[in-house]
Amino acid sequence: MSPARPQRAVLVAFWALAVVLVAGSALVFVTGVQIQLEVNDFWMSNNGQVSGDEEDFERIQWLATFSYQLVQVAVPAAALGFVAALGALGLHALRWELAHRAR
Amino acid sequence: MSEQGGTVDPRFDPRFQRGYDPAVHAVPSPEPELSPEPDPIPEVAAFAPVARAEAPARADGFEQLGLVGALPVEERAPRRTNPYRVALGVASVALLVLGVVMIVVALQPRNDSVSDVTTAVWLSQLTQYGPLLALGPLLAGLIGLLLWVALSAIAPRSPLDEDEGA
Repeated sequence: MSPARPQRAVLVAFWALAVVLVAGSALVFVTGVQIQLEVNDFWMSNNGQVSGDEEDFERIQWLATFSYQLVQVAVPAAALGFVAALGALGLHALRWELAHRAR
Repeated sequence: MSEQGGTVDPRFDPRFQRGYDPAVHAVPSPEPELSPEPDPIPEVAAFAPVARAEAPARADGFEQLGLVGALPVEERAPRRTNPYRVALGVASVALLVLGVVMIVVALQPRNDSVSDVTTAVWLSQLTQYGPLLALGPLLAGLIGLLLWVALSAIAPRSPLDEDEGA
C-alpha cells in the first residue's frame, strides 16, 4: 500500500499560510517596534515625566504595553510561517518522490 | 527511364524494381527467401489489454524489450536527486545559520553610551527573533526527517532502489 500523494490544494494552503504568517508578522513586528520607538522618544523628550494629566500617562502606558505585545505575537508567528514554508517544501519533496517511484 | 531494358538501380533491391528478372538479377540476399505465401499473421493481440497486463508492473523500457541483461549497469539512467529535498535542506540550514548569527550579533558587547536608541531597541528585539529562528527550523527539520524515514519504510521500493542498495 503506497501513501497517497499530497493534494495540490494542501500545498497551496501551506504556501498561503507561510506567506501570510511571515509577511503579517513582519508588518506587526515593524509596527510594534515603531510604536516602542515613539514611546521611547516621548519619555526621552520629557525626561521621563508626563507633563499632561493622568490620561496621558495611561495612554502612554497602554501604547508601550500594546507595542510589546505586538512584538511578542509577531515573533512566534514568523517562526511558524517559516516552519509552514519548510513543511510545504517537504510536501513538494514527498510528491516528487512518490511520483518518481510510481513510474 | 533508366530501368527499361533490364537495368536496375544498384542502390536498391532489384526485386522491387521494374524490369526485375530473377535469372539476370540473381543477387544473393542476406535476407531469407520469401515464401510465395505470406506467413500467416500470428494471432497475438499486440494491443490487447491482456498483453499489457502481462508485462511486469515496474519494468522499465529496457526490461520490456529484454535488454536488461545486454546493458551494463553503468549505462542505465542514473536516479535523479530529489530537488525539493535539497532545497529543504538548504533552507533549513540557512535559517539555522541566520538565527545563530542574529543571536551572536545581538549578544555582542555594545557601548551603552551610544545615543542611538533606535539601534538599541532593534537589537533588543532581534534577541527574541534569533532563538526562535534557530529553533524552529531545527525542530521542523528533525520532525521532517522522522516523517521521511517513516514514509520511506512503508513506501514500495523500486527495483532500481534495490540495485543501488546492493
